[in-house]
Amino acid sequence: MVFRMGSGSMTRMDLIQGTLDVLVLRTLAGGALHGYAIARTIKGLSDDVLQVEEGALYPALHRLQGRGWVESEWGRSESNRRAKFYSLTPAGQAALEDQARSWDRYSEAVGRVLADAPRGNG
Amino acid sequence: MTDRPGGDPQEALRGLLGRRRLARDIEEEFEAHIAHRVDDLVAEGIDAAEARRRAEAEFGDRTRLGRASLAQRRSDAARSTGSRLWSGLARDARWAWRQLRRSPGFTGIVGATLMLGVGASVAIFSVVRAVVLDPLPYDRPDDLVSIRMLTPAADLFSTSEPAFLDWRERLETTVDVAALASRTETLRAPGEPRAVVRGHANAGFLELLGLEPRLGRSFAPAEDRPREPAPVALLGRDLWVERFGADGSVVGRTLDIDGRSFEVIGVLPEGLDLLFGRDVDVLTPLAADPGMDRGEHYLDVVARLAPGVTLDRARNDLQRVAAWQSATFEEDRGWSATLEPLEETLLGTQTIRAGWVLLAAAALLLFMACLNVSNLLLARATTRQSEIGLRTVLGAGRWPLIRQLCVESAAIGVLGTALGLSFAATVLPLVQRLGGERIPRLDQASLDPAAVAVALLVVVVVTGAAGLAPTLGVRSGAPARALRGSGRNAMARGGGLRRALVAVQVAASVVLLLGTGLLFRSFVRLSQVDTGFDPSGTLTLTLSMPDAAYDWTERGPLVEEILRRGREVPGVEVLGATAVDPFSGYALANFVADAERLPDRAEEFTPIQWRVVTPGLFEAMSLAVVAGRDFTAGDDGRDGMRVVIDERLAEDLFGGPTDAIGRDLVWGDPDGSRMRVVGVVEPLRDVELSQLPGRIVYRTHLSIPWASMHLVARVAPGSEPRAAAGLREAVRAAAPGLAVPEVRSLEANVRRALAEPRFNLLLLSSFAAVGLVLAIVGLSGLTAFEVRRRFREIGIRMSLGAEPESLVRAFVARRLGVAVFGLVAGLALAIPSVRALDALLFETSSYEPLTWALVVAIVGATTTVAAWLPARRAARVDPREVLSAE
Repeated sequence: MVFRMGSGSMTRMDLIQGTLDVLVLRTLAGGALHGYAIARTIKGLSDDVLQVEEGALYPALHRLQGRGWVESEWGRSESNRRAKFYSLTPAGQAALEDQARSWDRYSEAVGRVLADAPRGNG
Repeated sequence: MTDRPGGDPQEALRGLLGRRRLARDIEEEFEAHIAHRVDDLVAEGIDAAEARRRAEAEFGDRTRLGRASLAQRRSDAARSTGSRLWSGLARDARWAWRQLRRSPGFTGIVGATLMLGVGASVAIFSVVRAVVLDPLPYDRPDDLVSIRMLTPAADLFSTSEPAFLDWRERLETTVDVAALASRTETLRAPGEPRAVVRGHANAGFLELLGLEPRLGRSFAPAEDRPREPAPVALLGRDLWVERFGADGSVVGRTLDIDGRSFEVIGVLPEGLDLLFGRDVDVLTPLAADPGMDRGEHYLDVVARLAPGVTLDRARNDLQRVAAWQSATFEEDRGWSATLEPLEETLLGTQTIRAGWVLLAAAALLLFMACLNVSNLLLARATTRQSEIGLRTVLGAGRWPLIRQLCVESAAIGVLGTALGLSFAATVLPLVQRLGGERIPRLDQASLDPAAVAVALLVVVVVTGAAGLAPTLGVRSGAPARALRGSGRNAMARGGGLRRALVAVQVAASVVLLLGTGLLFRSFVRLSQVDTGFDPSGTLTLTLSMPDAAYDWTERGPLVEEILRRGREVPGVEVLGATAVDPFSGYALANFVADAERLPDRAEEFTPIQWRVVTPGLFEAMSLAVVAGRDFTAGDDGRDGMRVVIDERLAEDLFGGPTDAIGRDLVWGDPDGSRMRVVGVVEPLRDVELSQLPGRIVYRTHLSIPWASMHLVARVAPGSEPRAAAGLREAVRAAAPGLAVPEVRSLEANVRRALAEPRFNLLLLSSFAAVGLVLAIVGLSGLTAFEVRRRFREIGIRMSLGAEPESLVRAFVARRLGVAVFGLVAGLALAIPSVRALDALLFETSSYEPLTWALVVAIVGATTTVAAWLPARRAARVDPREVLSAE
């Protein structure tokens, strides 16, 4: 499992699963959102760097729902369309705090590796 | 509407069942997503149709994604109905299975190791349990003892009828005492005549054992009065099935045994064959007679101790009665008696001891297999530490990770145990065939559920523990270190433990090999024992001429007639007969003295074995007459008894073979009859191979006609089948009423005598072989792993100009350090352990230098090869390849 870099630039990142989960949870911490709004929010919050693919988002949402971290309800969106709204459960809230901590550890670890390792294809 | 699995079970159930409803739900959700995207794009000024096309393209394959989501939702629903853990485990198991298939070499070695280790130890435990550990099939067997008399020379001896009755009446520490004996007779009706074993026992015998007849009743006291046995009989199961078709109304029918009629009163229960030493076809009352000759020793005696009585107390009680007997009766003078747990008498202390040795070896083997598997798992774990580190930082929880590793290790354990059980199931029948009839209760062995459970538990715990080792690194070390170091640091830490495990394995295989080597030496010596005769090309068959059918004056001429006809059979070169079937384990015993130096007291007489033989027997068994002559037809006792003795007795009594000829010996006691020595033959060892050849007196059947005689025929090579048929025909022609005997080869008798030592040896040597293989696998695996892990270092050294040979030497030297340590530890461990074999060894010291040296050489050579083969790979490393690989 590796990061795929956008071709030569850092403008877009495909998100790996564990990271996507934590981002979705974080996004829902602000209140209930439907799937499209979640994707839009993540993109907006990350200054267009993080691009969520639908092919990853919905499995992630359904997975989180399966774990009991989010729950869903059909409702009306801001554009008055029928949409399925997801919201955090208390378990999801706890998971978010836990995952946020391990994300910190992770980014620190990756940072240290990158700082330490020789550059190039050693 | 809330749609949260794990909440309302009804909702979850609906979710589980309503596949179409779920699919529609997902489809609508995707549609809503696209609609929102279209709205946004239209708001950016793109026309509706183009916006729709672009939104759909961005979303990707809706059908595939829908199916994936549907599967996910359905499995969530399934888990929420209570089987969440189960489907998690199933997923882990599938993952484990993929992991195992990905490394077939590793899986194969672990599987084979566990198969051998678990299979062999379960099979052996099952055997030992059936033969040794299972209690005797009688009620409260711990209270049962066997009582035997001791001759003035302190040899164990059977009991006379009056002595048995004394004990029954006078012993205070027993609840009851029973006596039994058996002999071969001929059943004449119903059906064709056939040889049957008729047992005799007193009334109360079955009750003492806590057994009940399968059918009918046992003997009433009135049917067991002295000298008046009632003509009633209990049938053995086989005879009941064979002659009465297992008829439930057999009670009241009659049997004709050698012309005497018996009324069937019941059918015997199982378990008596152990006590009689053979299957009993018919049991009749003993009717022990207090007035019978006390010199007639032929009974086996069992007693049940009163509750709470110790063996010592019972022995003292028995001593008291035996002392009274010795003081009161002339025939019992100098004799004593002893008792021991019935189990020891029936199973034999040899067998019990061998059972424990085998059990220890089996445990050692299972231990080695577990060591090996944990070593392999540990080695693999270190290479996986970086993978696990990565998964941890990517958000995998510790618990699911641990569970997954547990399931993977347990899968290995279960797989190996399953292989082991099928191996054990294959091996067990072979083991049983190998043991033959000489090992009591071996036929009753079956795969023992307790052994299976214990083996499974041990294996799963060991593999589980070893499989979990990499997660320890995850907890204690920062994940980053695991990532950065490619697991190298962690590997260095685990190395010491793995080296220790290999050393322990080498030590264990040293102990196994030493045990095997010693048993092998002992076995070779035992099979080279000079029996005094050559059994090849020799046939035997048994004639049974019971008192009831043949007057004793008729037997001599009948045997002579059979011999006369038998000698005319084509292929028969020499024919004779003896009362004691060689290697049947049966012996007649008495005492003799030199008539010219007659001791005053019977207890100073020389104990001997004796045989009743016909002229021609010595030649048939290739026993050379070293002085004097063989018997002739003239030695019929009318002008005084004549005997032939063996060299050993001639030496002891008369100072040598030639000096013995023409001298007289006195039979039994100072008032006994006198017998003239007319010949001396070579010593004969035909009771137990491991016993010294006895002092033997041969008497002729014409002076003492015996009820049961064994013909021994030496036949021309290749003519055995023809000669066997001819001999049977000769018996039928000479004595139409006699059961026609089966013909056996004497070699089979000798093989049977070797059966138990061969059995022990083969089992233990297969253990040692498996153990050595395990140690080799462990050592070479360790070296191979070490070489792989240090490829980089090797590459650097070689690029700096190091010689490949010196690198190989360095590797081998390091591994050999481990092997030598294991070897020394094994020898140190073996010094006390081989003492356990002492009682099983025949003319072999447990510290025999040759065997020890050989074991050291074998272990040294195999471990060197095991270390050298993988190390050689290191020398073939291409430095450039290695350095660019990392």
